[in-house]
Amino acid sequence: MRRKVAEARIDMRISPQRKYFLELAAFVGGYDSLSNFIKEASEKLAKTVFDNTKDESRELSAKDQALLMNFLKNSPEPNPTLKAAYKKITALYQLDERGQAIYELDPDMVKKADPA
Amino acid sequence: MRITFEILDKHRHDRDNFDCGSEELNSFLKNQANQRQKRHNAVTHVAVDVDEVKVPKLIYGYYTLSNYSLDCNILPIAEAKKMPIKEKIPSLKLGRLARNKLYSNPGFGKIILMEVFRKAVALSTEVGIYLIDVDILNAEVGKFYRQFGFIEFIDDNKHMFITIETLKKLFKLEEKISMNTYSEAT
Repeated sequence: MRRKVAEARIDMRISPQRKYFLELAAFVGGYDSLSNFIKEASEKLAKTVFDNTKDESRELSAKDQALLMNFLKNSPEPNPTLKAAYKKITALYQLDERGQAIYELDPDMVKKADPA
Repeated sequence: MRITFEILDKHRHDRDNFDCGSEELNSFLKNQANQRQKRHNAVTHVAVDVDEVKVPKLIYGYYTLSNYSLDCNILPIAEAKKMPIKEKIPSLKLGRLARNKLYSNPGFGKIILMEVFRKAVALSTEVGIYLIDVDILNAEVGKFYRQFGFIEFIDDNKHMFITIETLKKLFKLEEKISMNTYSEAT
């Protein structure tokens, strides 16, 4: 059987540093060429993008449907960790006139951005 | 410092100086979040300093929400008849949640999650939402959500959920606490 020849081309310009970085990764990863490394990496990324964007719904297995229905009929009480977190955090915020929450945080919780 | 949450705007929010330690979540914010928002696919909310005057503003954390539904159409009829709802269960998808590690401590993740809960309960009063469904990207993420009572599916280990009813109980509980405090004080 004749082997299919890849005819389409992708050309791209990148900095020498980035090319070196990719070549090194391809070498360390045991790929036989930079092209194969880039093809495999970009296909993986493309699949992830499709996985992340394809669905607005999914079908549950029969067991998961039964589980979900059971929890919808008998929703559990919030657990102690959730109650504690909620109690602590509700003390930190107030609603502004638009109903937007404004959280007043201690300096050890967040660091201000550099003014520069 | 005063923090609030705003809908991502690429001109007003600094996506370049965000680093949560996960290349996937950093890259999503930098390269995909804005596009997905334009397509009405998922909305990204970012935590910013209310008083910061510099634009673009530093992003301290973010989460993404979208409409989602879970298909429940293979339950036995007898079982399905007993259930409160059938077929498609409307839910809120919490696709991603991350904090900027350079500018916040680990507790900041809880604040983002509580903001998601606050928003979900508020939304549920206007549109039908039964649960928050969350993507579990890895074991560490699963551990984070499990501690707050998110429930694991049996066959699907990439997602967890928490019901809106559980969150409403939490909010009512808080009201009760406030009421009791008020009664005791007066």
